[in-house]
Amino acid sequence: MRCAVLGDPVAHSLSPALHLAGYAAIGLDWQYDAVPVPAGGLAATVGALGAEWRGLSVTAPLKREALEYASEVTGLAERAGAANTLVHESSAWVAENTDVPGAVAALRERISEPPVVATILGGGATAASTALALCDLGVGSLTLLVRSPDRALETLAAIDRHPARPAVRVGSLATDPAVGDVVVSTIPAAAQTADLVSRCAEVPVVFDVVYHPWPTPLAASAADRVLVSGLDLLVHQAVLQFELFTGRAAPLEAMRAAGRARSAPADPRRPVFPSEVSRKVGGRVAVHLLHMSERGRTAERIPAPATASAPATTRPRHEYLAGVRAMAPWLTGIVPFGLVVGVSAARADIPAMAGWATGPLIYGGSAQVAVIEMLDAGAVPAVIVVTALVINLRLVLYSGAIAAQWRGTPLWWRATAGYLLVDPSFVVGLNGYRQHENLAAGHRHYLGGAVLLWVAWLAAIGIGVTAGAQLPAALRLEMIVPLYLLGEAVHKIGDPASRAAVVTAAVVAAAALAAPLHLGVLLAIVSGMGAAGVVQGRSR
Amino acid sequence: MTAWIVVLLAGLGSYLFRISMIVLAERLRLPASVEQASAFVAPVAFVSLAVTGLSTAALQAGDLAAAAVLLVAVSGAVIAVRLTGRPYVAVLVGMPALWLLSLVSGG
Repeated sequence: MRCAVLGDPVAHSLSPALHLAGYAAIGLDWQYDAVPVPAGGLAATVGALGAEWRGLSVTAPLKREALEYASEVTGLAERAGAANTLVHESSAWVAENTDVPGAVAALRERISEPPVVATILGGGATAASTALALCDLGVGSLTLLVRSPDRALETLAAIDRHPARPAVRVGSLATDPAVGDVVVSTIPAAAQTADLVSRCAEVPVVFDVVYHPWPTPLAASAADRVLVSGLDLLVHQAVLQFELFTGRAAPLEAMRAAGRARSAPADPRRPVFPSEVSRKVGGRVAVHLLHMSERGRTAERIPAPATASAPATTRPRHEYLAGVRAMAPWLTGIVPFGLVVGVSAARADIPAMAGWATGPLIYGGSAQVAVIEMLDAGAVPAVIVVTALVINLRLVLYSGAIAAQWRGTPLWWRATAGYLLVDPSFVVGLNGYRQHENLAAGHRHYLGGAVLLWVAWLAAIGIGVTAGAQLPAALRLEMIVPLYLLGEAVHKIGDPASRAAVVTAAVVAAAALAAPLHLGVLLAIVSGMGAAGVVQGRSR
Repeated sequence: MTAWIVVLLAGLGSYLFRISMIVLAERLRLPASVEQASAFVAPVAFVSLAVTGLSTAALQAGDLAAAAVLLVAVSGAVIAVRLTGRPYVAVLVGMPALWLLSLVSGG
């Protein structure tokens, strides 16, 4: 029989070594290959395979394609929104996900007690799988630290499909600390800055899903803590695949040894395996070997903890105030931006009132700046409107993500609450719905934060418009806006995709300065997003 | 009048985006590629607007020395953001640098 791993790239994949070591250990004369398949190519590749093919390991960027291609999808793969395994059953392909139980097994192998509070760094497909694993282990409170709220949507959707549905808080990868018993990193090593690593220092268990290059900065910092590596995850998900493909118990240690042999064995910070050492966490011996029969078993549910973010009271006024308190920290960044927008409106060659009115009408900082700057530059109106709408397209995602919470409410309420929906109110609102037991309390939490944001934003723009019009031209205040935006853009550069996006957009914007109809900004935005998509596709 | 029409249309479109899934199509989902790409809209829009504004200012500066002053101030701002990890430092460093360099160069 034949099996393979499909994906792009797969040249570095350890899956062939793991599976072939398993076949050799139990005397199976099976074949396992690595087959490069680019995005969009899964259906054609799998459709051409004959009856001798038994199973496929599927890696990026094909995990969603596998879900769509399969004749049958297991409940776990459906919940995760991705399949890493295709099993050939009676001429039909069945999609399964072994990433989730693999992560459960990897964690249970290293820690003695189920985690109660956890933090996940990143928000993509891998974050979704590890979040489901933490849900299976009984985590009652999850914090997702992401670069922007959009990036948490996929993980939030997966968590919503899990019956445990723990309390979830979305925070900033740039500023917030990791909290709890476990921190799971799903971001590349290059994105693990010294600042981020220091903000993870208080968490006793580190789970880094990366296995190459190793050690990552986060893993290297965990010398005195429990460390679960990407190789642990890879081995356990491969073991589960092996059993699905062959129908026989997998030789875990043989497969693990093959993985260790192929992953920088001389590295002093290579993953340390349970058979080698026990470590202490908070005074407890935290490493316990589990019997093979326990692999992948769903952990017993433990009661959700009372977290610090849980409501202290059910009185409506306090719920509004909880939203206000949750929004307050956002204002330190929002108010200066509002002042900048106001100054920009005052310096532009447009009616000052129209500049201020971008606040209540458009209600989105970057789109407002685009409109003001492009009006000032004399761009064609249609191009300005299209540019603003492209920038605000993310609001559709927020709308979709929060729709379930507002289902069944009166239309007037949805129309009003929807008007207030923007990045900070989306995050504060979503956190509120997860903190409060009933939806009405969540609504009040959302409104408390959203109304404060709205008032502060419009006030800041008003102050900026007034002050900006009165200050002397020699101060060159028109340079504040591009400098502020440049600072924000440089600050948001983290991974290769965002770097490619920003650099491409900058180059195109400079090159297209003389583009007709002032199309340069729109062209630069589209080019930057395209470059990010290409880099993301390659990195998977 | 044109400015008001643009602001109204952009506002109307933005509002329709906000309520689209809430009111009209609660169960619809955008393609995954759009969801992933949207994460990059903010930095890409910011840098596009910034580069356009700065390039225009440099071209309008009139002479090479004034453009060089702007370039040095912007470079200082970018370096400061990378070193501190704080976006607003771009303004705190860039504007004083611009004023000081303009004074020194007689611009």
